[in-house]
Amino acid sequence: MAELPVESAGGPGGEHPPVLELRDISKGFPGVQALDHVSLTLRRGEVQALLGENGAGKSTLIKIITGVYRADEGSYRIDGKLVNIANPRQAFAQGIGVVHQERSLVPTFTAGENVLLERIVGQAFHVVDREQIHRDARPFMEMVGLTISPAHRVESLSPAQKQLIEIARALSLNTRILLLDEPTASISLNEADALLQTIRRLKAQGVSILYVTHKLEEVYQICDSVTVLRDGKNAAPTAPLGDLTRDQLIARMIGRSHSNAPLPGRAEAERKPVLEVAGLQSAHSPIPASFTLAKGEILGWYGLVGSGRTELARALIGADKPTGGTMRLGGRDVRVGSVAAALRRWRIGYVSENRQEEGLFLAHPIARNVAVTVWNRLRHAIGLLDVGGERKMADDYRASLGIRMTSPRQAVGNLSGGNQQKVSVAKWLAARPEILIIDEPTVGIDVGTKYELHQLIWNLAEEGMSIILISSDMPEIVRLADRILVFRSNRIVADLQNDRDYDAMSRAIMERIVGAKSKEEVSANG
Amino acid sequence: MTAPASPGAPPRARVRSSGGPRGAGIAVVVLAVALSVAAPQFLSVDNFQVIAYSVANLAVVAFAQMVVLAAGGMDLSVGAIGGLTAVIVGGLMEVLHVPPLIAVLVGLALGGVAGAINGVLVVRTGLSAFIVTLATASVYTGLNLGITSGKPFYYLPDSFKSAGSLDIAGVPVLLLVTLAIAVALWFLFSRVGLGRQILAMGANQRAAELAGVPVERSRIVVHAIAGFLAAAAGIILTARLGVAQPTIGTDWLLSSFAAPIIGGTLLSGGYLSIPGVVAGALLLTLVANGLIQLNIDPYWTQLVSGLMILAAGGIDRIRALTVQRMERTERFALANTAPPKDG
Amino acid sequence: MWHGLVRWDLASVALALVVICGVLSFAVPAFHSAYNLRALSFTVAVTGVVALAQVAVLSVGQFNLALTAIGAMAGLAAGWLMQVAGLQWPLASALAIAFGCIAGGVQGIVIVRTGINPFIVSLALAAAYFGAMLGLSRGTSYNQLPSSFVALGRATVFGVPLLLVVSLVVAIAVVVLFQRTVSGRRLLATGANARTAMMSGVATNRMIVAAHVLSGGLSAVAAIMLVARLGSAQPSLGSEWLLPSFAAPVLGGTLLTGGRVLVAGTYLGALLLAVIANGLVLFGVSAYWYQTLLGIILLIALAVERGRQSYVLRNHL
Repeated sequence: MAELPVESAGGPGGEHPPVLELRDISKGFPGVQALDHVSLTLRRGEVQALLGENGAGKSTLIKIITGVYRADEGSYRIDGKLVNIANPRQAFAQGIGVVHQERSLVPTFTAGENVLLERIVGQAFHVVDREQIHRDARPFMEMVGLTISPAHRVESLSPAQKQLIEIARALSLNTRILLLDEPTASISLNEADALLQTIRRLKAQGVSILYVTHKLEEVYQICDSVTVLRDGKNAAPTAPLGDLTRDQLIARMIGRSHSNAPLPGRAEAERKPVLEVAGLQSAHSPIPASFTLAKGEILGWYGLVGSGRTELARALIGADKPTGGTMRLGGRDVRVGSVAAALRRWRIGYVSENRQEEGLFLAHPIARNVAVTVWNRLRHAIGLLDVGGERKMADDYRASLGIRMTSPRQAVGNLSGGNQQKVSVAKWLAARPEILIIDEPTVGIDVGTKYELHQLIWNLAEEGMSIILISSDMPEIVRLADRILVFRSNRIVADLQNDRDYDAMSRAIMERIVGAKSKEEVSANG
Repeated sequence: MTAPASPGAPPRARVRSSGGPRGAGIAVVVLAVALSVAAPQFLSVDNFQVIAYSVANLAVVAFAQMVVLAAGGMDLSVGAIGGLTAVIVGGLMEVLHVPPLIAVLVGLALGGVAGAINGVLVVRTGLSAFIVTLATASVYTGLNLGITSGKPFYYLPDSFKSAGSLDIAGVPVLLLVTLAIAVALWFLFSRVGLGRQILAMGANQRAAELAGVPVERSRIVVHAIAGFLAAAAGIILTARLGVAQPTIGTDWLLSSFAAPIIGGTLLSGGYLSIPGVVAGALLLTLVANGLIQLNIDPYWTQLVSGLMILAAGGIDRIRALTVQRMERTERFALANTAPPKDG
Repeated sequence: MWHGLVRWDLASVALALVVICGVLSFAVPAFHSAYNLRALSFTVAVTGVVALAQVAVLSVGQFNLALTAIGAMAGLAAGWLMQVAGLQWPLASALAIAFGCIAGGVQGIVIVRTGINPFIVSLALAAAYFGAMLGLSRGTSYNQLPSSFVALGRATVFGVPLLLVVSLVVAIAVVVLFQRTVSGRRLLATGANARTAMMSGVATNRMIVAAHVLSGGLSAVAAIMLVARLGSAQPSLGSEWLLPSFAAPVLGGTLLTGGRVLVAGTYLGALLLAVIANGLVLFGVSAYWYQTLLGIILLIALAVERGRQSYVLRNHL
């Protein structure tokens, strides 16, 4: 039977050193400083929330704790003693367990086998007694509140149950420090409640938990303390939850605007609607979505990663078949059956967020990447290609967008991220769409190119193109968008006019992201 | 599928990977009954023996492919390894007068080595198993033909030949060998760490690696096992025929895939079913046998086999789609129950 | 200069050819006799088209395992049409080629519409086609073909065998397709990255079916050429085509993963394979060792090509 030592449960313990303490952790990658002197203190039996926007550094910090990365500087202590974690195995050995958003299970094995997976597959030459495994797995499953039989195949469990299996597995490996990454992202409200109960139970048994989330209602339900990251730094040092008001928390999560001068004003122009969407649904975006887009408008879609924006965009351009709802373009009902149709018939373009896998032909040179959308225009008689025209088009965009390459024959895969993104955008500019959806255009791109792209988007709107800008970069969206739709958990929760006042807008958006006040919160803060 | 399940509730019935073997078994029974009715000679002891010998060989070929499929790969050289082993064993016995038992052991070892070579090439070069085993199949077949110049070994020791036609109460000894192999494989994949490692690797390589599976080494072992089994199948067939033919294995490719897929082994890896493979082998054999019994031109056998494997591929695809669709519906059905609580 | 050479995709195959031809010319004078060169050219002519049939689907990142069966079917169909139905050879050939296109098209349609693993589809259809052919023809061969047709197999144009000319014309057409047409660009885009192609408005499903149709047609062309050369149509037509159909393109730099096609390299590869087979014969080595050698050559070629590509990538050449 497995048992965890029952520690003195509850809040910050006095006598014991913190079970996990990170001080002045810094981590840099080429071109970006992901973490800059970040500190975090987790006490035994405590549940701590790790908050921050996308890009704040949460996932890098998690990777350092779990041994996937090594910090460039700073100290990492467990139970007060300095440790040197060089790889995930060593992290496991120290009692650190992590449950990510993507599942790490073997679907064709049983629940019990997944709980004790390391024991089963850790060695080749031993006999596996399935009944014994199931018996031994049961206590861990009970610890997380799973009452199903360990003999059930994992592939027939619900997402919430699968997640609990992973937590049970972490416990079976004597995890004392459990990291949970957005655990309620893809489970229902009921199951989220059950999960939070499980977390309370684990806490009572002495497990210390670091809980990454953006949902403040959950934070107020189970967390004792909170660390807020922003732009790779501590926005607030680890503090007991009661020390900060909700407003203060939100304020700390929001980054300051770097965007220097606002862009020159655009003509208000005719704002007649060019796209009207009502109740649009698809297999991947099942919650009906409704919104309008005006001509020459930049409509921002803000949300955290995984909030469903890309899925809705894919439904708009026909990459996923719409299963319900209507789309009206210029007043006419349309059905967009495929990306090819969106491009050619309805003049809608989509610059993919995943330029390497979906936006570019990495092995091909720039000409073939840029012209892919318009080859039918570069046609001589009898289907022959105007190769010279293709090359000229590429040269023109190379010049106008300032794409730096050693030669026109260079494979696009060898270009820097910023230049790759420019090629990806050029491809759609060539198609001259009326509506352009741009998905996370400046992720992983140097600052200079970022501002060039901002100016480009601004100019396109000025020339009459209607743009949907999908971004998780708050300053970027406040700088560019005329109106902002806020996405949370696959639905549009707000439609805000952008008054370009960064402090006010970012607060209004963040309020919508973190969710309504829970009753615990109201009673705690009055 | 309406109310969301709380963690304590029992899971709903879903499409399970276990659907395959059951279906194949039912098909076998149905077909057997149909043939008994349609063709009276079907139900004779002689015909049963013919079927038994055919299954004895085919099932082991299918096991070889099954192992590789379960690990998430494929092996196009099973036939080539089978043929090469057959002629080497035959040659050892006939030309070098090696005792049959030793010759068989050498043959099995060679099969394992040939398979290991496949595995090493796949792991070290990073090339797909498809192209690697396509090339090695050519090499092994070439070695086979080069050694024999296309001529079979006819003069095998009597002890070996009689083992091939021996039967116990009507059941051929070779079939018992096959069943022993089946039991050993069943044990390996359900009770031994190595087998579980292979399945984990095939189902989710990343998770397996994180849990401690030595993925590269395991992959080589998988191919070695497949080579070993291919060799066994070649030796079984040689014993049955009483002649070590260089053409052994040339028509194994299709059946090596057909039997496992019909029997529920997933093309994508992570799951296998030994009873399913046997049922699949039995089904294929019955179809071929039936065509003969019904006096249909044997020329049509290949067409039927091709259509059957296409159907099996279709079933595999439907299974995969259904699981996908269920996972997606569930995720979103549950997300839907969270009402918007906007202040 | 070394960099230029390493960057050149045809480096390996050209080098191998130069070396082997050199060795053979030196060691076996019969190598460059007119008779031998003609035999070589026939082999290259047919193997080249067979390889192009595979290249057609390699361009979109797929494999065609049924090209031997399609070839056999088309060849037998042509034989039947000429011998039994009494059609003139141009019509019979056109029909046989159409037949090959349809067979390839069926494969493509099944693959894109059902989503069944393309490997399984190809394998299954290969058996189905072959079986259908056997069942319909009952294994008979057609060797009473019109002499006007058989003469084509031996004809020459200014001293060059007609079949080689036909082969080169086909090759040029394929080059034009892939380098100079919109469809060719779309095929290569589909092979380079099907997701990107789809998301950029390319009808990738249609491209895949088209590739298979082309592959089937080219298989049929190769089969008809072989029938003309042999003077008879047999069910065993094309049984040894599968490995060379991969080996020649790979030797010549065509990628197995799709998106890149080198027709010239494919023909050099076919030439290399023919020369090696020829060499074995001239040296009196049993033809049975050819297969072994072929497999080893393919493995070495793949490994060398891998090495060359990563060398180029690592050093940013």
